[in-house]
Amino acid sequence: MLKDKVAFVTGSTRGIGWAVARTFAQQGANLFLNGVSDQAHLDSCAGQIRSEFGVECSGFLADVCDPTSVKRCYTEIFKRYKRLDVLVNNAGILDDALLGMIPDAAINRTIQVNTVGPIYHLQEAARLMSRNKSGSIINISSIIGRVGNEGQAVYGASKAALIGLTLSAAKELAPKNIRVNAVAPGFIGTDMVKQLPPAKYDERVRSIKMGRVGEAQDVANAVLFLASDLSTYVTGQVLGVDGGMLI
Amino acid sequence: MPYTKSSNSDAAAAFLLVMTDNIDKLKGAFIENVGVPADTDWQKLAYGSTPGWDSVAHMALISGIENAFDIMLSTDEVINMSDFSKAKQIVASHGIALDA
Repeated sequence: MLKDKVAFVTGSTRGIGWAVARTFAQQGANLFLNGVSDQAHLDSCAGQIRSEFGVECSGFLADVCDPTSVKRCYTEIFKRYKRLDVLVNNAGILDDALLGMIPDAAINRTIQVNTVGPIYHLQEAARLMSRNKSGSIINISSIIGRVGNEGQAVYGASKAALIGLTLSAAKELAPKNIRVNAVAPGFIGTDMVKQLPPAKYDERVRSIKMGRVGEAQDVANAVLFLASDLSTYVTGQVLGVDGGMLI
Repeated sequence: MPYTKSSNSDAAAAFLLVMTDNIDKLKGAFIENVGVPADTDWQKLAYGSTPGWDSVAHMALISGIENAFDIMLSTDEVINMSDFSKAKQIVASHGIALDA
């Protein structure tokens, strides 16, 4: 479904990003991965994808909210392929705290990584995609950004902002045949949610109508749909992948 | 080839030809994307005040220039490209032979 397309997935060395990257590679996409701190792990992930799927794959060690690093990524993509077909804004952090107990640093870092970084990436990606008048951008939001949750005011704000970004960018970029959509995962069994206290984890599982925690692959499948030509007339949508979760 | 006066002037002539061709390419991007006529006063073009050069045309112009010269402009360069002279300077800074 993505044969010879060029895709960039941020935050793609584990969790949902890793599942998306593998799914894209399985469908024939040439890939750029991204991690923030561990070059050896990033190189290992890229090598694993190359050997397993026979596609081109390399990694950018870059902080998604550092504009200089972001520009360097897109300059490299341009040099190598002259084009970008798919961007998945996946990198994100979760730092729960109740109102009144949220440190300034946590507020700033969460908004920077979850919201500002995706804006930088979307802006650069849209410029590259405009050249070919084609592209798909998928922002990984969250069910928390749609309906909110206690202890997640900042995370919820950062992910709700991503939905606003998606809706506006979709309108602006539609004339250039660039589609912009968001995926809003529910409770997915990644390292990030395993940080939750056991009681909170159990409570969340009980709120899922389908009776199971989501898997990263469930989200990756939805992202693949939005990245592929199966969704050529779909833009400005927020696709929930939550098993009927109620918060 | 040994250095001679004539080979030097041939090279200079070829360079001038390339520069002229590149200026024409740049003007072509403005004509196509901003909608200015070919006989426009190029020195008077300015983003926001030249009719047709609005933000939508600007982004189309940027794509046109990038495609014409096979370069990628930075966001700062996109923002700073506010007249024809600056456009020449910015394109020239990417190693394109232009009389900037």
